[in-house]
Amino acid sequence: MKLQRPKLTWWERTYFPAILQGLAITFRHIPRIKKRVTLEYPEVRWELPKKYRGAPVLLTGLDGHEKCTSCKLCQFICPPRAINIVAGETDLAKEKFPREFTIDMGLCIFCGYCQEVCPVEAIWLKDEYELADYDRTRLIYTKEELLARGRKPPYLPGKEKPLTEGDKP
Amino acid sequence: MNAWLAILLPAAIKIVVILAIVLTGVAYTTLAERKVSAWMQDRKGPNRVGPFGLLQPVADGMKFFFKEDITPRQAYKPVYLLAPLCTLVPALVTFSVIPFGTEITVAGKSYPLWIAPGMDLGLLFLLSISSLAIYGIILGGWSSGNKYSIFGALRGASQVVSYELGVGLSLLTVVIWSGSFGLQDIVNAQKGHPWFFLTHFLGFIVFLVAIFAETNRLPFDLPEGESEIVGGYHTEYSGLRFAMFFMGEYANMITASALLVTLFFGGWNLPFVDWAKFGPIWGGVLSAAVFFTKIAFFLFFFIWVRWTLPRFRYDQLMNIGWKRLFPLALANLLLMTTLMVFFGFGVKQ
Amino acid sequence: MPLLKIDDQEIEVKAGETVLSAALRCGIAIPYYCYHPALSIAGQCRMCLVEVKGAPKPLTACSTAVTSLPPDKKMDGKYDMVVSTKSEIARKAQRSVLEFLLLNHPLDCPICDQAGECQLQEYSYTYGNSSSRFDFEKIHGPKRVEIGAHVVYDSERCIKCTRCIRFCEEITKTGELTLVERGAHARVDTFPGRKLDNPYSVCTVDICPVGALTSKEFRFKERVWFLQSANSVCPECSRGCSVRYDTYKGDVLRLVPRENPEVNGFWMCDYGRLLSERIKELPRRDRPGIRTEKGWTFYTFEAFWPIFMEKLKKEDLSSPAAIVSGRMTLEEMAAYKLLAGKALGGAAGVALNVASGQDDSLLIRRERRPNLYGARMMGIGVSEENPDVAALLKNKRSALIIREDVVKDAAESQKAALVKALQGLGLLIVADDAFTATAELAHVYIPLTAWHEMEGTTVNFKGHLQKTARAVMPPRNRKPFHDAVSAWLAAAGGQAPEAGFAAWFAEVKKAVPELADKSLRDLLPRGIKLKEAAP
Repeated sequence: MKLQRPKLTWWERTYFPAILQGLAITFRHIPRIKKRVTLEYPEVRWELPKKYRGAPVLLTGLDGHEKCTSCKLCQFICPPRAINIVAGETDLAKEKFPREFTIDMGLCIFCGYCQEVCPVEAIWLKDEYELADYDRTRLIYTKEELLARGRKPPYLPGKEKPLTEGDKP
Repeated sequence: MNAWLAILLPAAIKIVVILAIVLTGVAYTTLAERKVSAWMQDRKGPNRVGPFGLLQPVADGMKFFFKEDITPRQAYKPVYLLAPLCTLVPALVTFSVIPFGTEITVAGKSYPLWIAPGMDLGLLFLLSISSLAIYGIILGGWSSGNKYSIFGALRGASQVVSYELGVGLSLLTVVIWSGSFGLQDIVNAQKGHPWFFLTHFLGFIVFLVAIFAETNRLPFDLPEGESEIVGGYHTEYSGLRFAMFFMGEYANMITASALLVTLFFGGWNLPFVDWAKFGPIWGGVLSAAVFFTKIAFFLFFFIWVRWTLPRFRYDQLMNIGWKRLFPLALANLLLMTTLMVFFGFGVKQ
Repeated sequence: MPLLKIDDQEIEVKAGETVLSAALRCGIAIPYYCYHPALSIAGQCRMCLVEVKGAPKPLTACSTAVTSLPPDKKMDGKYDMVVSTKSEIARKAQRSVLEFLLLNHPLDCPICDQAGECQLQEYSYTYGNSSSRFDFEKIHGPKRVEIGAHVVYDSERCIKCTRCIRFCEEITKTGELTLVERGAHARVDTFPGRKLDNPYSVCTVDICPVGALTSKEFRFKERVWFLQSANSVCPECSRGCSVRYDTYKGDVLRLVPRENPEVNGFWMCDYGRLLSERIKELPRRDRPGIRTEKGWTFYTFEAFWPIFMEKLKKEDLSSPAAIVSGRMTLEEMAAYKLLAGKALGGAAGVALNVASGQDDSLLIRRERRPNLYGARMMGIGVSEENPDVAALLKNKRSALIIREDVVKDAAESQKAALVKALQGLGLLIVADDAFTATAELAHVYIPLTAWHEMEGTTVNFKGHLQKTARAVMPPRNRKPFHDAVSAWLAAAGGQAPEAGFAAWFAEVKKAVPELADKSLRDLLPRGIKLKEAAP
């Protein structure tokens, strides 16, 4: 295919009209004080979408035990292989339970495949996103930690007013 | 003894004041760069340190001060350590010949508002000194012992060589018209006469474009480039030495703006205003204020252009320099000299 | 010869051959659960229903034999039977049977160990419906029933194919299992007062096409798709069953028999399978060591040999008592022969014939060492059954014991005398994969790779040669005995074949003329029968 280049006039070929146009556009944005998109982060927080994918957590069933049956489908599907499960046998009706369940948050890419693939809805990507740490070893979440995170109420209970357009912090 | 003091003391005071103004200017140009770019992108810009983020440059300086100063093992140390100074110092030295006001008369003695008054070859001095700034880039890039640095340095060198011609030729017309290399004379020539950017519009455009390339500002910031050559010539620098390169770039911007103002925008002149009428002290102060306001406008212009235009490709840069600006500057020179010699244009002093 | 047409393919079959076996022979896919080539035909699962031309309803391919028709009644002029596996009727039959089988199936694949190697899953994908029309409460039956010491039964997953029952009746002839209750409540159970305790009980887990029977040892250990497999040989008796080692992250999780008609058919004994559990309990020492009055000092493999050579200079190793083992591969035996000639004064080794129990009619052999036949082949003498090792050590100053824990295997009455004899030696070198009771008495310990950590060849009691494979990577300082010999001879300043299986297999080829024109590829996957008569 031959690309059709637009024919430029002599004046256009000096770049000046385009340059002036560009300068005009950027200049027009300077006084738009009300339309600033900056979010002043720790004080003001964005309202998360409902399907936001934050830290993966383990959920507890109504019987008080983890819902996970250690089928290891999440371990299998996990693209960065962040999940590691050691299965065990339990006297509960579900027969099988995770003796150990670790997620290496240094590896997790928040793709949500684990949530997607879980047949018993035991793993879920919560709306937590402040996960950084100074120590890599603390980034490996154990089963107890994941369950505790799963029991916590959603991260943003609406105490802070989410920023809407025109809000001045 | 007293005669020496009478010469040295005012000079020392002027140096201190100018250095203070320029260095503060550098600091706040960096803040302005961040603020203006933020506004242009509908953001807020730094606003955490001090009111409206005004103390941000101080915080940045502190940060640079406390960062580790790393010298790579493969670097050639003496040059590596000195190179950042080569960028910063020439930019500051050029201010010695730039007249930034008329004069202040105290106790019957008038003190002209420039550091080295009576410098007849001020423009030549300025051109030669400001060209030294590129040595900082070349030496820094070469002595780092890093392939990205050397590429950045090479680009910077060839860029400056290519555009120096445009600068020189476009200035020549101004010199010819005003009949002097002294910057004071050039400023005076624009008093009661249309500023040179009107009469030398072609030369002004050539000079403006070339000065962007000379200061390595966008759209000609090819000596650095994250996508191709990492940090370019300052890849290996960190801490205070990087800060010197950083300040050098902005000091060069200020010098370039001062040059633009002096040569094409009438220096401290305002149309139909005679500073002498404002009294011995206020005349000088106000003229200096006007001069720095003009500089501020051009600094804003530098920033404005940077956050509007994308950068050129390297071959495009060379094409513009050699195939467009250089012939244009030559034609301009021919045109202006013809106008002056055969049609009697020019400034009679 | 009757001519059978299945779909578009013409097959000549022996009179009386079933449609299913003819189809399997020709690679035509007919799904089945209850059919097993080693078991009698039950026609229990109905999965193999096919459309037979002229029959009023679909017939089970596993129990429909092909017979000759009179020439004038041939179908389409030449066929004795025309079968379709893909016609509308056949497809509908397959789909309906699967729907029936899955009516009460719990669909707990996420926790079921069979998932991933489950015929029910595979056929559901290929032949079944994607959803169930069954809206009612499924019938619940007993789960987690321990019907034997190593087998757990789940009646909800069971499809009542009766393979396990027929296995116990026909192969082991013990008949512990039967089907109790009727209809949808039917389940497999042991007869009252009995347990599934025959020595081949875990084979029922292998032949169970679904997850109804699971092995207690492997239960919930790992999902099968994570396993890494190696086709190898069982080292636990002179039968040398073809097995597959299934490993995960360096641990052997289970041994599964491979089909090998000349050696083990489809089966293997429970004792062999439990090797995966015994491996874990062995005390390992991963570095070679030398014991002095101060105790053991251990070195890296490379650092060990110069120090060992220093020690040999002070000791007399000219005619040691050399006890080798039927646990050594042919390559290791070749290495021993070379070592004996060059460094041990030509000491003829004795391979111990450790025996226990009785031969049974199926697989289990009295001789507990897998490669005694190979020892004879390589010219190494084999002792009488369970010899008195102390007698072998009589009048010897030094001894070399390879891959044998003589202390543990000694009879109780002889143990004290043996330990005394071993302690009386001036130099005792023990090379073994575990730091055994014998190794603790040694002056020099050379760690060897275990059977599942190395490649090698082995010959079973009938002269069937098979190749073993490396199922897991050994620690770096544990080497096969032939590699240790390479290092030993190199340290002693002599010529030695280079380390590694390939070089030493070439040595074995020199010693066994029959192998000369064979490559490793010929030995896979089932090995070859050596023509040489048993010595």
